[in-house]
Amino acid sequence: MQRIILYIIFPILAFTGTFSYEKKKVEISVIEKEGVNYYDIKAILDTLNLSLDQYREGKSYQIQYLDGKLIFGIESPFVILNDKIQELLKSPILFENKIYVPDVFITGPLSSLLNVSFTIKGKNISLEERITKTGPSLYNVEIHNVGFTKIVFYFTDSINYFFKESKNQITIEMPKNIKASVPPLKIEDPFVSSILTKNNFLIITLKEEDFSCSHYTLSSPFRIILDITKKKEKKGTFKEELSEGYKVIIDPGHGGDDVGAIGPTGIKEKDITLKIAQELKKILKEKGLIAQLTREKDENLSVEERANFANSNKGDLFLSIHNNSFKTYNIRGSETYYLSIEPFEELYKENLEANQNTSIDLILWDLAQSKFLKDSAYFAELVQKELDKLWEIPPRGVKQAPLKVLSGVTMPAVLIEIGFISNPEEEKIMQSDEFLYKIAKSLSEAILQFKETAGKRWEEGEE
Amino acid sequence: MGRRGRIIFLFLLILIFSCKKEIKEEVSIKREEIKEEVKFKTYVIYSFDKENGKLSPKTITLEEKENELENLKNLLQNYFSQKDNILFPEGISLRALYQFNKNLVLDISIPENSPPLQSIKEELEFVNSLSKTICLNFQRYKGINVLINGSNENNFINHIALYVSYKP
Repeated sequence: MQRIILYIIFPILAFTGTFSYEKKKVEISVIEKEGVNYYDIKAILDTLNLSLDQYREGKSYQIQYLDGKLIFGIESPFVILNDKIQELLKSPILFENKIYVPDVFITGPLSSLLNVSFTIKGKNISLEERITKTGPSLYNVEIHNVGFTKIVFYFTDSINYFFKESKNQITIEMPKNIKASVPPLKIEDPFVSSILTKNNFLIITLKEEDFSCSHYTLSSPFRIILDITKKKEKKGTFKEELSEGYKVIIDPGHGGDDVGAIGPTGIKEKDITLKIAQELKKILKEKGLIAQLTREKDENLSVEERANFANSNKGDLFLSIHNNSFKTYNIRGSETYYLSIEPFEELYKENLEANQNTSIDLILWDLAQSKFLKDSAYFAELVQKELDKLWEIPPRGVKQAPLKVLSGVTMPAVLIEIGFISNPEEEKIMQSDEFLYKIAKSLSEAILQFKETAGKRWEEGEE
Repeated sequence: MGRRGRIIFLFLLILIFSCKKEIKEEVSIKREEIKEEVKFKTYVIYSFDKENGKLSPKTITLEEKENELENLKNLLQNYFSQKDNILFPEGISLRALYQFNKNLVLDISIPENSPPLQSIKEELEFVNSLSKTICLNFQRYKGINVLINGSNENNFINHIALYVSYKP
């Protein structure tokens, strides 16, 4: 009777309970509402050295343990445990600025997340088992071929590792406490035949011995990335490589059905870009460089095919030639672009947050260019400087944009917009072979300068 | 009818008339309230300025809708119908809107026979005009993603990647 009266006066009753874990026994707040006990989740998690974080602008909360995640909301009977929605009979509640969870939350999703069993007796909770806080774990592996093979290993936290190459095998030795839970991979790759995890070793077996592999790491999340390519025929110093065969990949924009921009008198972008590319190839050959065109004639070529061509031919430099155009005729001048990487990084983070892997192919393409951004920016400056000499108009400068054709190229890469084909004056001048030769000559000057100075920077150990 | 009866009758008449007046006043107040409920909101939209070759702002005033989503739809429908933005092809319309994290995903319908945008500059100005107009008027959105006819791979925009987001 007294209890019924208390319920009428105070619908929520506050008590003190206990939480026992290992040798610790701490007091925790417990409230009783409609005959059900709710426990102070923050106090429990603090005892377990786990944190309770706000999720998505504070509307809900998450508990993270190793690579698992439990998300719940106040007054919501639904929880998300490792991306699966579960319904509880009772909802977590907020009372006097503390978050309380019902007993079913502790014995259900929280137990599953931590892989332990809690015992609840009235207002007291105990945990007999010990939560194992193992080291970082490897939770995903991706393999893609983008003219070379890129393998990405995803970890829950950063690790130190040792890299070893031998014959047709690459071995990555990870710390001994590593937890590797990677599902078997179906591999259809020209270089890689298998990827195995054995204890704390990652073993990548290749189809042949003649390969070269570079490795580097990226953060958020921590990733080890391997780029595997076929070995170059000749091996020497960078200087020797330069003198023996510095390879420039020239990409004449558009082609085939894709005519590109059209000038006021009907001049097509695809024809101008091809003419300049062919001139440039001749000049570079005369200078002793190797130049290859992504297309030698008027044909359709996708951006992926252009990047694949450059990567599989192991170019040292990539130059995509285009013409600008705009709906108003008064705009003119040349501009040089290199890749802006921020939008790709954001996309990557967003996909991770939303747990969507649909764009992972595109992201891996982006990683391809990220290593060369500094060199690309430097090359873009050199190109623009040379182009500016040709025009008696204010320079439009070096710009960055998330350009598809540059994102997948694994070498310093720029895209040049020679001039505005939509501007009658510039269209007229672009019809002159002499002028197109001048453009090609300017580009060759920039390439030679880059070859010389980038080489020196490399030898001096600069980034 | 006695004196007392007349007084009661007169009192009742006064009461009825005063009630009618109150009802009339109430009705007229309500009508005014309905008139006042139609509110307007001013937005800033960005269009390409042919003279200076840049995106320029101008204001547009539209009837305020019942919620933010309706306001957003209304703004975009009006924005697309403006003839100022030379980069918007004839027949451009809104297919759908989604929210993805802090970004607005804009699914735009472009008629199939529309010629593609011809250069990186045109493509960048196209997405920038949209991102500026949306993010500056609806500040909860930090960026936009653009889909053309439901896809981020299309012929209308060829040079720049549409699978990334654009910020003002």
